[in-house]
Amino acid sequence: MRCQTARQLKPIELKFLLANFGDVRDAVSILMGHFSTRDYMDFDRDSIELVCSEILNNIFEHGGPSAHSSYTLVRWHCDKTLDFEIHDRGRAYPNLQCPVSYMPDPNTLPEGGFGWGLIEMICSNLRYYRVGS
Amino acid sequence: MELTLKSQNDRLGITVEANRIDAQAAIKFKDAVHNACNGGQDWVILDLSKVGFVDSSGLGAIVSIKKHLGKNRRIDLASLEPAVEKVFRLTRMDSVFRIYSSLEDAMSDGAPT
Repeated sequence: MRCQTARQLKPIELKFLLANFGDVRDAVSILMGHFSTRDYMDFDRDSIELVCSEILNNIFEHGGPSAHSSYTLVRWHCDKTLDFEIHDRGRAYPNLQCPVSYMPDPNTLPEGGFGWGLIEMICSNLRYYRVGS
Repeated sequence: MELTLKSQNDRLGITVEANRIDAQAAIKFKDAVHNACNGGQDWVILDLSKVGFVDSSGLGAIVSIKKHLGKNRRIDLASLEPAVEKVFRLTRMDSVFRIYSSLEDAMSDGAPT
């Protein structure tokens, strides 16, 4: 995430089963419990919460049954920057790429399409990989 | 979702009694506000002072409410917490909604004294 700290923290890894939006909310709550400690005081908690929520919601909404029935892994470590890895076993994105992330024109009153734009605005070095079939 | 309503002249103030409008809450929030707006006041003010988190689904629900009210009715927002204000700013939806510092300010704006 786009913020730096002098801290160096060991990696942490959590697994979540995301079978509904309530599971996503619970997962975000657990994650934010970790980020409420002094270790992460240099980082913007609001941004962390928003990005985690958008990504986990995305996995639940678009990953399909295989994402709902298998664990989503969230791993992060802090070595000056806060780096996340999020792994799921859901459906792949078309063309094995993240959706094109542009922010919709607010004047068209869009009711969706903000998620990836927000993620990209807050994060740097955003990458998507598909491993296996 | 629980709402507190305050009706005054042409205005309806709606205070959202929840701390999150996220993907889990978005549909219930939208339905509750739609029902609250059935009274027909021309000017609706959505007070988000108790809401500490809005994600893209919550934002979409708020936009949907604006569209539901149509062009002849007005909806403004009041009391955005920093995390909520950030979502509106990053998405530039703060250019679409008028944002008041408090519900009281919105309810009294331009009203006869």
